[in-house]
Amino acid sequence: MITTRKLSFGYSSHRDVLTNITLNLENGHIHGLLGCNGIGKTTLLKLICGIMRPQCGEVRVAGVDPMSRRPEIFSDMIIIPEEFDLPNISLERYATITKPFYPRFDRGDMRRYCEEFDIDPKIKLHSLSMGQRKKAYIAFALACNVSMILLDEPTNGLDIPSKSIFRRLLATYVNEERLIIISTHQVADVEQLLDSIIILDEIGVALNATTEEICRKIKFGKIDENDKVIYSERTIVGDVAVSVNETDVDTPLNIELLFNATTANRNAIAALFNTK
Amino acid sequence: MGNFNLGRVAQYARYHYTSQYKQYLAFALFVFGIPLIFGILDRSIYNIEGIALAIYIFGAMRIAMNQMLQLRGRGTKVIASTLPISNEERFSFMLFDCAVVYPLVAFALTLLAVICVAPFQYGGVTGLLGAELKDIATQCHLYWPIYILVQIITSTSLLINILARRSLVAASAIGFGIIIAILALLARLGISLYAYYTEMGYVINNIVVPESVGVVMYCLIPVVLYAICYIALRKRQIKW
Repeated sequence: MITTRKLSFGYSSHRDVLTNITLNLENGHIHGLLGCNGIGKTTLLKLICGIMRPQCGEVRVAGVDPMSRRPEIFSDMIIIPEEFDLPNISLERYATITKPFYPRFDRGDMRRYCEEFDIDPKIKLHSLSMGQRKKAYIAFALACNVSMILLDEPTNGLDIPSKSIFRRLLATYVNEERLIIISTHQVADVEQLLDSIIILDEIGVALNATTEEICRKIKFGKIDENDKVIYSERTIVGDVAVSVNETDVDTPLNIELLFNATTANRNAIAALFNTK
Repeated sequence: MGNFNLGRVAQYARYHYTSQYKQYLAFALFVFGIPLIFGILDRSIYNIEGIALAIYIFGAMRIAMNQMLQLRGRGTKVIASTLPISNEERFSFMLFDCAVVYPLVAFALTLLAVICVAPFQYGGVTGLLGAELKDIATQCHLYWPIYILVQIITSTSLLINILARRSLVAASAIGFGIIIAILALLARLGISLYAYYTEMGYVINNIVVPESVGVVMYCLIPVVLYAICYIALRKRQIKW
């Protein structure tokens, strides 16, 4: 479980990136972390990892301050950055030298994930393309069987078949003891996967709710004259809107529309979800 | 699972050397190869010592840099920083690599270069086994003032690598400038104190006492610098 309380961070004294972020991320969910460019999604992931120090507020990972760098926290958490570089050795070799740090690492799992992604774990990592390298590291990260996985733009660089394999693997990976945070702009890639949505904006957390709660309270689709419209936009298939759901019928979640509605009409969304 | 586990330090050492084997291999070839080439060209082992010593002293900067290479690298820093290892364990390895492994390996490689050059001078290695080897061992890499000097350079460079944000060259220039200034200041202070006490009539017949103070202070410099390195590593956070 990851909690943040009144977390603020800025790269310089006159430029705050994150302001007053209070979150309670529970296990058993795949949390989607959304926000405009430069709003601080990656920074929030780095603060959770304890590689940056908050200016005020606190972060707790399983009840522990990650800045304390206690190995037991990090042996149960792994981050997959958007861009990364790995040593020029094979994935098998990389796993051999890294597995002692992750007690639940399973080489059989890694080989299985590699097979799914069509990656040869014996090939040197620098001879793989960026997308293949990402798949290799995802395979390694999943094989570590850690409780917390933080992914920053995981689908960037993945080809179309790999995106669906990625979704399938992540869906089977999560269970009641595991927590996954996906920071992304590619909402269409992970829409079906997320069961909790966090939207950040300049003021703080604009929305933090489960997809179930969102669908119960919000209706997505064409405008009906009786609807209490929160936000509407013109698309190539006609006008679509986000309105208050006053019926018992849930409509399919449209994260892109929800994001636009939250950005355009923050107060209405906040009132609906009791967000400050 | 405490914050310090010797087994994890060993695992980290394995991770570190394997993931940076190219850098270490290139450096080892350099430490061994340059004195060897000079020795062969000169057909003499006598110039090897000086060249090897210069490489040993300036190579200390490279060894310190290797410790922070992954933690500073644009693509590697996030993964390297989140590796399940505490600051204490990471620092213990850095200290071991800089203060034990590097001097011993540099010494061994120089010795190997001398042995390889010996046939060119003596027509075999048997002529070498005597004073020359003893000289290299006692007056070169493991001679304590040189060892301490190398540790001062290593610890300063390590500190610069921990603290520097962007330009490592600029940070190194400033860092080494400060260290040289501190060393000069300490030396000047020692000379002034010695002159003052002599002038005041405290006749120092035996130079051993002030010399011992100087030696202790000289040895303490890398200790203090390494302690600052540890504190800086604990406080360190990545920027982007």
